[in-house]
Amino acid sequence: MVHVIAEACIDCVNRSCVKECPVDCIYEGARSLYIQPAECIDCGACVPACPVEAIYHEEDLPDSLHRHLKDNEDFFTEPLPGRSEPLNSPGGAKRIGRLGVDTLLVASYPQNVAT
Amino acid sequence: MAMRDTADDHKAHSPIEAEVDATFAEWMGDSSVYWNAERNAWIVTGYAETATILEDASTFWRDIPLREGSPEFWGRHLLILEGRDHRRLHTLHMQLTGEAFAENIRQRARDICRSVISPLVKQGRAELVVDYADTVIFLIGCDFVGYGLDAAAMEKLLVQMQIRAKWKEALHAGDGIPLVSKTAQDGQVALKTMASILLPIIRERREHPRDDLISALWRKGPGVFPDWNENDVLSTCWSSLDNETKPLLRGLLYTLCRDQELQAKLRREPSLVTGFVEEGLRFLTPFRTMRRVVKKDVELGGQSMRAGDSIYVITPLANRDEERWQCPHAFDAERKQESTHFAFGFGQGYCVGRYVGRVEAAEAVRAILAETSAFGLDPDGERPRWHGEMYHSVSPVHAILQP
Repeated sequence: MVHVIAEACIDCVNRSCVKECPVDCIYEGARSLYIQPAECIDCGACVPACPVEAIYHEEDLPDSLHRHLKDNEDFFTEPLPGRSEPLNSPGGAKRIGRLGVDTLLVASYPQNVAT
Repeated sequence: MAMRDTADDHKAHSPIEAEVDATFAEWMGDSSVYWNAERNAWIVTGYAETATILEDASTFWRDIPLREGSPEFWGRHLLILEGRDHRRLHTLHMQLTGEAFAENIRQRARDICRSVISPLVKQGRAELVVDYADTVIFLIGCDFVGYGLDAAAMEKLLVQMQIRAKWKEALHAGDGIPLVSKTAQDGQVALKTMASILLPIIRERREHPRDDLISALWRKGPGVFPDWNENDVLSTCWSSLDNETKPLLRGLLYTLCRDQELQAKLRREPSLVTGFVEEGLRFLTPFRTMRRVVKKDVELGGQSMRAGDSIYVITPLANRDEERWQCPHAFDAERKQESTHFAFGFGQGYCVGRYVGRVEAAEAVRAILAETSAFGLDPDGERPRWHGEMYHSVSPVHAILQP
């Protein structure tokens, strides 16, 4: 079971959740944040921290947002645009900083869709 | 694991180091996971294994729901829930009492602490556990929860809370105690007495909400459980009045009584108090035996655990991992915490009061430093003693307070 960041984060990227995460498992793309599922300890601290209620536990994810479950995973398991290797599990977001790229799903959203 | 560092490992030993280490010596084993026949349970002392247990809630979860008397004691409380119900209530707690909330109560907490310590300083002597540590945590909790009680009702409530606390310790230690035991019977009477004082306030706040936790729980609770009711509000608020900040604060005050050099330093540099509290959490780890039950067969630390096995996670030992902290057996108020300590647990059970607890402890320490020029153990007072299996702390702490 994992926590997932869904579309309300896109073009918001408030980052309150990043500060709250005790294991630094929330990574920053260009237009959205992504939770590394293998690093997440499932504590749920990020959920109330998000001002736009973009974070869900997998079990609570509405059907309309279910595609973000795989999309969060894809951010780490598939090579991102401009990269030849997937990120996998870097072991902490701070050390690699803002990545500046998104998954195809997030990149496909019109600008400011959720703001 | 070495019991302590050599004398050369750090510059100045705190006077409390050896005596605190001695309080968990009984839990040390040959490996980081071992079977204890006397306890009929696995003992876990390693950092990595502790992290695994606290993170993997589907394999390891609290045994509290299984204990006789738990439902009567806790009601529909976070500590006896699991799975989705637990997660949703946990999220509600964090929404209502997270970091912003804790900062909002800081000034009130400071004022309450100073109002309690000031007359004690005028007396010149106090027993800091009952007169100060336990009292201020209770009063701050009553304040932010919204229990606006007069002094007489507050006093009555505090006495009943102490009776409840004895049941709480016995309920969670060892194999627990039966409901028919005197401690549990007394505790149930205390719960009824407290409910008779608090439920009318909770009912009134449903009709006339204010800016307090009770009102927020009425507003948000039905989003977690559609049948949310007054007993849920009551249960949810218990931990605001009686929690592990009490044993933490007892230990911090005792440490300052024993370590005059550190006390003087914190007076000169109050900004160090935050770090002092954090090191107190790591070093004292007042919530020191976290109990878990194995939910499915698993290998951990080279041992084969079976579903149904009991586990004692000894958090102060996990918090002394030599690969995680330099000189882990040293109490260093200026230590940069290199790793996450487990004083507040971790994973799905990560303590929802961790922000409030830190603020309460820091403000209580700042208040006593501000109201005194010095304080130390009263040589004529009863000797302090460390005790408690789940909540571990020191008492009594008779002190002389110099204005």
